[in-house]
Amino acid sequence: MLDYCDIFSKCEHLHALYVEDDTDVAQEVSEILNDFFATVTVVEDGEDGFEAYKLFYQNNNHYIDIVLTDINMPVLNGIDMSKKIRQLNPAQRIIILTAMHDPDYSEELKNLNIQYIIKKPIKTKDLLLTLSQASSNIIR
Amino acid sequence: MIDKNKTKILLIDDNPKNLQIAMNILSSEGYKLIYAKDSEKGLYLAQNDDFDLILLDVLMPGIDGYTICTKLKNNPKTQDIPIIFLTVKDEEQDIIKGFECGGVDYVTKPFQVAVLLKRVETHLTLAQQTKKLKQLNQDLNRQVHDQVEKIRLKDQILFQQSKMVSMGEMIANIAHQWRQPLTAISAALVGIKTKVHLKKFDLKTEKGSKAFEDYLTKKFDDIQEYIDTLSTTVDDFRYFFRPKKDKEHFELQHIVDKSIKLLEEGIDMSSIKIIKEIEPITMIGLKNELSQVLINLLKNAYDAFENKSNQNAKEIKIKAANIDKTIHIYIQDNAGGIDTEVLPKIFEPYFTTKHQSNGTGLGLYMVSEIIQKHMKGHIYVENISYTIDNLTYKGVQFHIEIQGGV
Repeated sequence: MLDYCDIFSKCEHLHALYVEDDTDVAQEVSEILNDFFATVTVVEDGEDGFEAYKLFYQNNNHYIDIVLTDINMPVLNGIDMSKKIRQLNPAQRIIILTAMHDPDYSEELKNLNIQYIIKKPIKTKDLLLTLSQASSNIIR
Repeated sequence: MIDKNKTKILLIDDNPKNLQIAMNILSSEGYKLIYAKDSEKGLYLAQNDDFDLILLDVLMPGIDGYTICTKLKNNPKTQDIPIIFLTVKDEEQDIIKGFECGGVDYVTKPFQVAVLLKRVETHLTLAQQTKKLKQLNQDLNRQVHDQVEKIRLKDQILFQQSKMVSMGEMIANIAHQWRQPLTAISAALVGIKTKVHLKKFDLKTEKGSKAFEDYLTKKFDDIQEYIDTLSTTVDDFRYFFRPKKDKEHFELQHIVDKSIKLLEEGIDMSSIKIIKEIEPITMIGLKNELSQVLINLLKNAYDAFENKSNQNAKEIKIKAANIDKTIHIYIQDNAGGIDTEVLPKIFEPYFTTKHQSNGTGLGLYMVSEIIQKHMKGHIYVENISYTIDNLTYKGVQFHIEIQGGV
């Protein structure tokens, strides 16, 4: 049984970066994330996401704990942004949020070794389980 | 060749002497002969047996030869039997009358053996060949009819299939449109549960209860808004794909804009510049069909750019003009053009140059069917050169010509 409070206690000191181009989805999901994480940075495309990722490192001297990203976005999509992030930090924990109707990215996700995937529309259990797993044993 | 043993000839003559002579001449050649000494019996025999040829005397007591001939020619069963008149005199009027009531030839009495035989043989051969031709013609007609029926069925199946393709595309579009609002709704619900479970509001205090109430009200309003988006999407698509056959008044510019918008819901057109040179045109016609045509042609142009990722300037130009109530719509692109061998085939069903996942090959077929059959118009395609900033590109132009200008 997943417990909200357990997940909260794991996440409350962690920082998250969330990349999503749809304002409604970004608004709703970031509200959830804000309830769990210490801080949540929300940006709307992959390029801004990568910039925010580097900026966090500059300011904090360690990489941000968890990156959550949509795939289909203008400028730089979630996959390409993840590639760039992994080049800087191969151990970066990345959660991909993807809709079933998106083109098949499974091959690319496998190559990038992305373990955390949340399907849209979001199910409570999926979100909690993924957050719980992704926030376990984070070493800065 | 005539098989004389199987050829049945009917002789009708009231003069026994004449009968005897004719019988002798013809039987010696091997023909099967049946005779009638009076016209009543002759008519009865002709109508109730099968004959290949009839030799008919003109002047007889009772019904005369012309009347018998007319009767036989009016009966479908006997109308094809060649009738040769036997006349006493070589009188022009009699001969003409014989031909007029359907006789094929005449022989004057007394008989000249060789002439009689030659004429009989000639008309038997002619009748036989006519019969063959008729049969051939019937077979041919049946074959043509069968083929036409086959093609019609195939057409029907194709149309059904293309309808299914459109439906599939419509469902895919709706699914795409629904994705974000559904995600927002699900996230809003997960968000509410999270707040409750993490006890973000202190419900024991009045302030906390009020804050929770405000929060919930806000969330419910948001969710209502997302649901409205879902519902609008369905209405939009239903409006566009409803098989409405009534002709409507509409602004062409408006349909072009709507079509581009609908297309952009499904694919990212941002790398392509769309130029519109459209006169203000009010039309009366099948609005939704025209929109489907435009979506297909624009999608086709978009697909043509697929292998042109290195090309900097990508353009699709839509031009429209109303010339004497005929609407001319041009859709041009600079995506490289179509191979000249391929060009004549592009409106054929299942013809596609695209990868299987990209095209069914029914898009342009549907377009031409809609334009030709539903709109009674024409569509032409040609390769053109397309100039942007003094640079010339190869491209394709579709030219639609439809009635309906107001």
